[in-house]
Amino acid sequence: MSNVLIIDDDRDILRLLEFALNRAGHDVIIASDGQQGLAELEARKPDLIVADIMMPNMTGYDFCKQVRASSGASDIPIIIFSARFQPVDKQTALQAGATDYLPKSISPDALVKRIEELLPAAPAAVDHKSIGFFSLRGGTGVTSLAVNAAIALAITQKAKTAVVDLAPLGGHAALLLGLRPTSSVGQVLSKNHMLTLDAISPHFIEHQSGIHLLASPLRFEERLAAQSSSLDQLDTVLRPGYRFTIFDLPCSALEPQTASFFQQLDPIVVIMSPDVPALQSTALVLQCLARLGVADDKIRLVVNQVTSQNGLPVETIQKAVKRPVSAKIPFEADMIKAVNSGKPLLLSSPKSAGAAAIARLVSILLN
Amino acid sequence: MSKIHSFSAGSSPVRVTADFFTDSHRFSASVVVYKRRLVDVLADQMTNFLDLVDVYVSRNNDPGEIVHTYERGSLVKEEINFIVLPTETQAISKERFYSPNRTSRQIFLTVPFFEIRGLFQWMGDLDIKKLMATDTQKFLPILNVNAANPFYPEVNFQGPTALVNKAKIQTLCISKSA
Repeated sequence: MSNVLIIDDDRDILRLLEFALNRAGHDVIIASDGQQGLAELEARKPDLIVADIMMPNMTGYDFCKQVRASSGASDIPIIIFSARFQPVDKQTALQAGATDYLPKSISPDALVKRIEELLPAAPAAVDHKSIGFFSLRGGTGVTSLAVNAAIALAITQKAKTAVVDLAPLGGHAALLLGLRPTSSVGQVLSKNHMLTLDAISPHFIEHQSGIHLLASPLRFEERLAAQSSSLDQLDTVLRPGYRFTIFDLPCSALEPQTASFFQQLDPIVVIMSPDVPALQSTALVLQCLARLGVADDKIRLVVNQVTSQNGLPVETIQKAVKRPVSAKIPFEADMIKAVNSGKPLLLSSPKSAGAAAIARLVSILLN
Repeated sequence: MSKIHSFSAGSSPVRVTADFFTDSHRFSASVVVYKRRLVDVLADQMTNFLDLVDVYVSRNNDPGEIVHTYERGSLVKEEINFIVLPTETQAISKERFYSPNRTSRQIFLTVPFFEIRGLFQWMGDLDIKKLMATDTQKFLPILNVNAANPFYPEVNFQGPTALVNKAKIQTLCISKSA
């Protein structure tokens, strides 16, 4: 539905067009002359204007010129709709800034059709991605990768990106970003009412990179006891507001009641370090995800902290888990510095091998 | 599918909006015709003036620009060269509206400052003298009209119908067939 401003001094025309546009599902704003039209334009911000030429005080041509000269409405489509139907009238209207010119001899349906062609297209459905970062084994760098991947997405895709740290208590995403949150995901999900984007927004804290963080609780009273339905709802509510939502998932999230939430995530990045305990945990994670009904093709296996010495070879890992490794992130000494300083690797050492590998990981996640 | 120009709500008097051309000016204006047609209002011998409402004045050398606007005006019928109308209806007298066996002919005529081409419809044998007689109808209806100003070739006006003042016609040429 769009707002269409109609300006005409002929009440019959106004009524007829109002009827035709309402029937087509549009809201109509009416003005009987150019001055009133300018006032309505300022006050109501219509999506399109239909204006007559022959109006008292201000002709449609002058109206067009004033609209085009104004800073806020220079792009709004204007259809001149007039009983002056000569080619020279169309030419004059277009020179004055009109988008199109239609004679009043056409049918209202034809006018509505043209209006709908010229209306600004509704914003395309956002190609949203909710991405989960998960590992059963601690210390594999899940939060570091989640935070840095979010920054890479925000910067390279120029997209609104949210990070939700679902650690029940004391998650580290805020720490890695150098942020001091005053609210947490625990406060958001403890409310016994329907979640809305407006209600959640004040709980986010913005990082200088542009990403928004919904932090893990830092107080015992706020500890997260998330139910499946609330995680589903949180993900759903964030979709219209963010192009990407990165969920930093704790071990405890892997529960039967969170199956539908895991199924919503696409992809799920399963992170492991190149060691035998991590391999065992990863094999278990893959089994659990299959049991929760997560589609196999949504899972991306990432080996983090890869070193040239002593670590399990990637080939061995792939053979053991019977799936390819999507990305390898090298061990990065600068990562430790980044964690300790609260400045993520992508920003503190953007030219490091680790940062480059994270950037490649992000492009893999997008494809 | 209803046409906007034929819409008339409740008791609002019927207004016909058209372009009226004199030697020097274009007047885009409305005429309140009530239950009559514009061609019959023009033929009304009770008055030599045509009352206009919502008058938008342009000059013939720059007919897109509106130089003046007025709520009311009065136009001397004799000084009108021709009128371009948005529909055929208002150009045909109510008395003559139903006329079978019409013959269409290409017509070319000149009035001061304009040459006009279009289709002319005629019943029976064509007689120029009868055609130009001004005793009953003072204006000649031309269909699919194109009126051009020879002094400003880029200035031309088109429409489904025009009413040309017979008294202003300088030259009239009609083809043998449509």
